[in-house]
Amino acid sequence: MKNVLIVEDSSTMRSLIVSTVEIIEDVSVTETASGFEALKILPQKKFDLIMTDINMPDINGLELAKFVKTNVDYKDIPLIIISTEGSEKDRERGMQLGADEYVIKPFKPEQLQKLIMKYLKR
Amino acid sequence: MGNDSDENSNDMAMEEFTSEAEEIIEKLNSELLTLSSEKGDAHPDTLNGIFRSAHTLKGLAGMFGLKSLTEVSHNMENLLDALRLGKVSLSDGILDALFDSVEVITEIVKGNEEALQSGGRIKSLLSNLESAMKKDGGAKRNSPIDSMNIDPAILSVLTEYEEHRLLDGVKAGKNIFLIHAAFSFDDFDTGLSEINASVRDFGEVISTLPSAGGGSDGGIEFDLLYSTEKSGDVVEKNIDKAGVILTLVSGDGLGKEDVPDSTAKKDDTQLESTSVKGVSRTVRVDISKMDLLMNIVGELLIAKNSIGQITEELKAVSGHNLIAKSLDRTNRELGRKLGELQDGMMEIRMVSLKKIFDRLAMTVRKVARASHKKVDLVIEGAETKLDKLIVEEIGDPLMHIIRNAVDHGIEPAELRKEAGKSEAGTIKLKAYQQGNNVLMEVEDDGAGIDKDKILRKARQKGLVSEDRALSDSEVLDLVFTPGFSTSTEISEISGRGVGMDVVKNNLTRLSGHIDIESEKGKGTTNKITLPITLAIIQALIVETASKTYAIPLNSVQESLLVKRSEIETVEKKQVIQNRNATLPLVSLQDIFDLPKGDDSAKELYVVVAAIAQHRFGMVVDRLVGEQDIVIKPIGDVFKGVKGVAGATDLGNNKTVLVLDVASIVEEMTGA
Repeated sequence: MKNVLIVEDSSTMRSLIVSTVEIIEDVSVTETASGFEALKILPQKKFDLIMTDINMPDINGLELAKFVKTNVDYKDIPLIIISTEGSEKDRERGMQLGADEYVIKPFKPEQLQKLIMKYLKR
Repeated sequence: MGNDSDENSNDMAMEEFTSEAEEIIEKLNSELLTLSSEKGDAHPDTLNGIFRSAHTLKGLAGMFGLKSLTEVSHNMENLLDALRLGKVSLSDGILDALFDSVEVITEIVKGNEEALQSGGRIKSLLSNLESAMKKDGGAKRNSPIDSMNIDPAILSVLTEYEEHRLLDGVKAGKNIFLIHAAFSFDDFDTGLSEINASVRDFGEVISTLPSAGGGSDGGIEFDLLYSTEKSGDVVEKNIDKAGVILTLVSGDGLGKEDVPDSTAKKDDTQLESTSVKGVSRTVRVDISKMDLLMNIVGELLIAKNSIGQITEELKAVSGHNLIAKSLDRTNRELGRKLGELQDGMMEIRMVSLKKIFDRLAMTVRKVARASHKKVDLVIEGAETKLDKLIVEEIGDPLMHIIRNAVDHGIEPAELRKEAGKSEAGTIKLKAYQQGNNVLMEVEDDGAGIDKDKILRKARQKGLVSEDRALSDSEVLDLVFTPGFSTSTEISEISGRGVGMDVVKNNLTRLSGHIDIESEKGKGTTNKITLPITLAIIQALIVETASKTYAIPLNSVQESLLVKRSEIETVEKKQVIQNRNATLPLVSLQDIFDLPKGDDSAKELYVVVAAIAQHRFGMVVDRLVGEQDIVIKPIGDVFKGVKGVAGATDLGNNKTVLVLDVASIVEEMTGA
């Protein structure tokens, strides 16, 4: 069973992402609306993939990405940023911080699934 | 996977979207009001909050393929982005465009897109938003940040916006600090919001970067990038937490103003930390699910009463007295707990008036603009709580009253000046609890109601005879008469000619009451009294022997049109055949000993009611329709009357009895 963590503050968007991920075989989804919660959840199990939004109220997705990618315990977990089209700079920074992919909303469910499977297979 | 389930999940997603969009709209409204009242002094977080709302909306609209919504929120987001990055400065025109955007978005979410499109509303809004961006060439784009002496490691995690905020601070000669703090894993969010609250009032937390805590205890550390005019000493003193390390990133570290009073902020600190907790501890529930639970509580109470009856019977059986007594005790305990459960359910349904009051504030702003009047709105008691359903229903009547106050109450500035009043009129919107009621007042210091004019008009219309003298309050009551409207033509602002009679009717349906007090030249006060909570149920309204009754819909299975010839008599009782079973009939005329109507009608209506396994038909003359009703208890006089659950007001001052189907069943099966 592969564990996927989804961090997204919009509840509707979150359930859209969750439903896209959930139908992949052998995947268990943990979801949260807040970056702070994500920090608390991370040590609880071994995650195989993290998907996060950028614009969130407590800490933003870039800050979360940096935390993950500079932490000995988490740095090898693939991280996908899913964000609504916005600042090009934010996208560059995300990739520089070590995010593995940058997906722009609106996303196509099939494409997102393909991408997720690519990272889960590793 | 079938198509059906796909469609279902689409519907559900759409429903979720609508509900989140409504939340975002409410948030936008309230944030925009803050922005418009604070203008240039607004905290950067306010603007950023509005940006994030528009951004989220754009993302959602995109996922659902909603083109117009995507376009509007995208353009709104662009404008807000330019504002928060300092490329454009805030003006009244921009504020209007933003308010207008939210209005259009509200209509789109409500499903009124076609009307907007055909009216050209969306097109004109989009061009307004675009030109608002272009018109302002004033503020300059910031120079690249690398020229500043800032650690690249800090910059790497900043979003473009945060970078802008940092640069803005550096340019303004502010002190930029890194506030380093360590927390345990369990309560770092509380700790952080405490720090945030203690420094937010004289500076800005630009970013919050977590890093793994040292040691094996699983702690977590944070670096807050903080921009302020205060000195390091002041910041440290205000944070007042052991182990916090302050590092100066930019600036001279010296303060520019006096030391702020750290003790005065204690309350804010508390508020901030609870509100952060509130976000993660709230669950959104469909109100129909709560209604369902409420119904179950009602059914439990009925069951508890039956146990009580059985207990009484048991007491009479010799040898079982002790058991009966302990059953009695247990049953009373059950009753108490059910009571608590009922109170708890009521409590959950209570919401504050804040959302409605925010909407009203928007309306006042809009109507005042449209009628070129100056109006200050003073709001008190927005935190007052009422049943969710009442809060939903009270919006329209209040909206009407407040429009009236701006449109007809407050005079134009010149007239006010002549009358020796301040140019800007004041409308006070006040809510407070009084016992089991909530009182709401809309008070204006406008022209007041011209009672002579009202009386003249009422006489013209023949509502009052020429020779009858009326007291002042009787005259004011005339405005609630159907068809009465004092303004000679229907004003565009006060709307579709909905009169105060409709307002009164709506309030009556909520078991509410409205009074008007007015003094010519001084102003008008509308006083609304409402119960805090209601048991609202759906009911089928029927008529028999020219009397009207309400039957709770939860016990109605179906209604049939039956030919008189289909009615058979079995063992002296009237029955019909329905769904392969014999359905006993009861006539409401018999239950309530009403005079027999005419028996000549060839067809009659049968309302099939069911309680548990008992089914029976109630014969009535006419079905009037379905309606949400509020059950009110009836006085002791009717207490002994079987078959009545209470009374309800259908509006139009028509009070009817609500049938208690359960007790009718008891009557039938017992007899």
